[in-house]
Amino acid sequence: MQIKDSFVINASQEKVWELLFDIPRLSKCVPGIESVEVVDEKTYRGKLVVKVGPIKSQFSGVVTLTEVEPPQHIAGSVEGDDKASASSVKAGFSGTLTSVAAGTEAAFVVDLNLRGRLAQFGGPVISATAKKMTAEFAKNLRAELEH
Amino acid sequence: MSIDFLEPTDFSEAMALLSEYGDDAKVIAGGTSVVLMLQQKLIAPNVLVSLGRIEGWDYVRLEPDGLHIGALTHLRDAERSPVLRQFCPALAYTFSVVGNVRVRNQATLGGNLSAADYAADPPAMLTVLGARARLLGPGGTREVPLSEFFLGFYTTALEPEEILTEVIIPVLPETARAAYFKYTSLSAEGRPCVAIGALADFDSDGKCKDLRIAVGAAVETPQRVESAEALAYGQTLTGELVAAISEEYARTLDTLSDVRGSAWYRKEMIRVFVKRALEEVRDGHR
Amino acid sequence: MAIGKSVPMLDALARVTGTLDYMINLRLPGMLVGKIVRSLAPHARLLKVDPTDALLVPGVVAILTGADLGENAFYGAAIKDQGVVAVDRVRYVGEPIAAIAAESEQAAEEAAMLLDVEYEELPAVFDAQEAIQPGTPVLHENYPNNIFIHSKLRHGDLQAAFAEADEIFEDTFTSPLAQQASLEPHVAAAQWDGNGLTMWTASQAPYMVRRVVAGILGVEEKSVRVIVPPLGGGYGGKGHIRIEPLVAAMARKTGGQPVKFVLSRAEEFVTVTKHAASITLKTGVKRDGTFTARQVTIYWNGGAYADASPLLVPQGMVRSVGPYRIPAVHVDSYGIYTNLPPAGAYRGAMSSQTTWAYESQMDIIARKMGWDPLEFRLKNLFVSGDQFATGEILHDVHFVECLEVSAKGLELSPSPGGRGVRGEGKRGLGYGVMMKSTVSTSKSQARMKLADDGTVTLFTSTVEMGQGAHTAMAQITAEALGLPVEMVRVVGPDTEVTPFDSITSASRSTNMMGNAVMATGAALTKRLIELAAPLLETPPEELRSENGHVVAEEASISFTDVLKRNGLDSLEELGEYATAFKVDPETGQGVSTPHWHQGAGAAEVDVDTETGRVTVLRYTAASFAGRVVNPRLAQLQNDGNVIFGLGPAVMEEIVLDGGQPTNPNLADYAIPSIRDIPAELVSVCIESEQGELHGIGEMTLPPVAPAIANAIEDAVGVRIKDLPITAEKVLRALREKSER
Repeated sequence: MQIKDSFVINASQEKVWELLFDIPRLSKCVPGIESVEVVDEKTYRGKLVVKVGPIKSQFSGVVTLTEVEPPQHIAGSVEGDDKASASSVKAGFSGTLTSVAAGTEAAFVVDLNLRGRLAQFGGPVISATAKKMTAEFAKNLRAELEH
Repeated sequence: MSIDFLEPTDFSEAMALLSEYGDDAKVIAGGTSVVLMLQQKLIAPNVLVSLGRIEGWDYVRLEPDGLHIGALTHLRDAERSPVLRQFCPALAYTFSVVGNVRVRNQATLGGNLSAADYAADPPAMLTVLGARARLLGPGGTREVPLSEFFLGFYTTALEPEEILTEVIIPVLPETARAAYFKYTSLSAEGRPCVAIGALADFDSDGKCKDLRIAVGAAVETPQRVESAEALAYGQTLTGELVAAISEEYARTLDTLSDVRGSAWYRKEMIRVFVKRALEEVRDGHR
Repeated sequence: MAIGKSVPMLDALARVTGTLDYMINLRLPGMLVGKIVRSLAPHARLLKVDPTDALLVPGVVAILTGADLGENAFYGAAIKDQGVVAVDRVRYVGEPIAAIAAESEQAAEEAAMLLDVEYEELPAVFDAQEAIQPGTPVLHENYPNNIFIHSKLRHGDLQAAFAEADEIFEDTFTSPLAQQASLEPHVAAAQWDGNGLTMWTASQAPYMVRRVVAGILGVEEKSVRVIVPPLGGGYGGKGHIRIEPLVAAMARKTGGQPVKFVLSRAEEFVTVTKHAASITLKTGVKRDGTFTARQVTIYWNGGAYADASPLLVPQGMVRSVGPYRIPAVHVDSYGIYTNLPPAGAYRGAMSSQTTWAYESQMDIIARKMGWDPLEFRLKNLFVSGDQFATGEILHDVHFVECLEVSAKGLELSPSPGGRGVRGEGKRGLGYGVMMKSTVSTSKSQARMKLADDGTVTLFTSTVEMGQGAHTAMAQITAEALGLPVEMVRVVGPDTEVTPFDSITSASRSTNMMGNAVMATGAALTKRLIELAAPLLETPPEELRSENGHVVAEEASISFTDVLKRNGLDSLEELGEYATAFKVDPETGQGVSTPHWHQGAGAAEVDVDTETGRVTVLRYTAASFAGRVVNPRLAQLQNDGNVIFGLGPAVMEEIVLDGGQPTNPNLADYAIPSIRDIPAELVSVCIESEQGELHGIGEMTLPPVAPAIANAIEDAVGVRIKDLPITAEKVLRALREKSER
């Protein structure tokens, strides 16, 4: 399924780009991130916890960047699994930063493939969860940048 | 499976267990939600804190401030309670259409609300009746209006160690009319595609004094559209007005897609069933 | 006479009070819990399945992976392409990649999490018509266009016949992926004793299981014993080989400890499905209301492995023509590989999908040509003596009567009020008729043992799956011997004591096993009479059996006495009935079935034009039943078929996302409930005087979906060609119609 979202941060495009590649600061902003490790300049390994009501899953996975065009475009893929729920996630993503009057607009598209038991959740729950995580991520980014 | 099944005999014992085990524990009452999640392996607690042995919390009582329903009341008992049927026949009907009788014999009101399944029946109706949930926690008791209780998919205002103990429905005006519509698009015993709870009050001229309509199952949490309800105040519910209100509901609400219907279909069904609910409360068939 | 009596089902009380010993209750000393680990990817190279860490979990006894399997590791009804577990490649989400035997479910779960698996994903394909295009991923190298079977039927000069037509209709009808959804899932247990294996399994085909498992283990068939307890439903989903090879291999790997596997509901959806299908019918008709030609093209989505499809696709070919006189018929029936779970038989195998197509098109044709749908059918339905598209001459066919009885059923009683659904409800009537073959080549054997206390034990490998097969066999036994039914006990299946039977499916058992039982009974009666003759001083020709006695004009002697006075404590006989028919693989000409299954239905629906919701108000079903063994059970089967048929008609569909089922549970995969049953449901079994024992398990199911679609068109003028007929589809169609 496809997830599309965007948000605006009151900060310059360069500053936002810089933060996206500042792994220690960035990982504080991503909701549910439990660890992140830089393997090389295009590859990151990490653990992400996602909660939907009583259902908690912990995904261990790898993010691979395929396109990096500073300071406006980034694309790549994510592959991870949660052994406890026999589920895995595969996603391709693409994100763009644009300067706007109010600061910087960050827009992204994710092609998400959720497999295993968690896939029973279905579209509405997955997209709502993605929306919540995006909103929280945006909020955290703003807190980091807008002061 | 080696899950510990603990059976406290009162709520404070239950809360103490929740406090002790934290994330490893899950509350279970009738089990109709929890057992499915366990079977589907969506949750894996080490401890189940059963409320099954707690006595004295399955009741339906009419008190001066309204109808009090204990959280451990089985839906089947609520459905059949003469007090509840007298108080609000549409609410009794709402309970009666949950799943099937075998489910209702097991499921409790507290469990149903705490699970916050978007495709459930009681939430929309109770929300429209202005119901409040009483939550018991280590810090004491607090009340939350149901309109603020459902926060998202499977997510409620319950704090980690809180348990829902009672639902209170304020006294309804004598002249009030209520209706519940459960629309199932696939099997008749299935979960709803769209659920509509409606409450209306009219003066002796047939002009609307109060109108509340909550939509469930097509949206993440039960939703009212106050701008649409306001169209009715002081008016007679003509065919045109009914159409306008239902159109406003269909236009405003952000519907979801699942096996029971697409987002488009749900908007259409919201329009149809808000209309039917308005006609029902206006013409008073129930 | 025991045949023709509504004897209560033998295990009815046990079933209803929950005391029946289903497979799931089996407990053996030292029994281990089995768990299957499944692929998350729809198509991938399996680079690594390393159980090293998993084996360290306390309580884990053994883990089976592809590395344990040798050459015997592949099976399939005709094409042995399916591994006991995946070896180097996975081809569908849910495919077993390993199996674990542990002392507790928790240990098995922990081990599953520690299994070190590495995939290299490959592009996948899920749609059958896409899978046969050049450039799409190939699942099995031997089948480069993913077509693993192409069954052909060629009868008459098609082009010439189309040239004679006044109108030609071409329509495509689709059926989605669906699931048999028995209440009891697949369950199997096995124990290896060093030389052989005992297996308990919820299967419809014990001897098939024995043969295949023996092959997998590399032992003789007689070293494998298969026991089948009563099933909680089968519906074809347990009709071929499922988890048995895996369970057998696991049992051997544990070194002798028994192991039991119970599939979860979610696992059921990736174990066997009902073929998704796309069927195109090109039909030529003349203005005088007759047919000239029909060309059928069927794309069956077989899933990742051929499985039973090489047997089913040719059957689907024969079952796709329809019960009408059509001089020229060509059929191309393709079985296609895709990255989905293997598809198998589904109650009425292939007939639901095919009847949906041809009965829907009947009304499309009738309406366009201005003919009454009922009259159009009655004019063209086969009668005995007609020739079918396989060249065979039809005998004992009663399609006209089935349809007339169904239609009459709707006329006889007044239409009830709508069921509490307000809004503009429009009413309509629709019909469906179905024609189906049964298994053409099969064999059934029965063994009967008369004890000196007068009781008879029937040893049969026919499976009791809630259809009342054992009850029917008991009645047939009683009738064959001239005994009260109460004196008959039915045992089986257990391949150590019950003789061969091909399979319990395709509604073949009442006929095939029934005939075997009759033959056995006749043989046993003959022996009793021979033994009694000297005692009664009467020649055998003048004796008969009645009520547990051998009877002469003036005297009789009880079976018990016959035995005792001959110094026997028991008397045993074996009997058999078999058919061996076939059709030419290139032309489909020959004999495709020992007899034809015939069913019809008439539906009255109410369509709520505001929501599109369709309510079936009344339904009358009729099937030809030859000679009914048990009227009550036959009626329940017919009723049950209609209720079952409501599912694929209006609600059932596996929804996939990237080859992964997203609704593998009974909350989101809707099956008919008690409250979906029409307010009025009547079913009739039509018998014929010389009627032979006939199956009854499937006949009134396939007409349900097209009857409903036809009734909807009658009511509101919209035509739905893709199952299931959901309210949303009807509403969209209504909107499109009003926009035109």
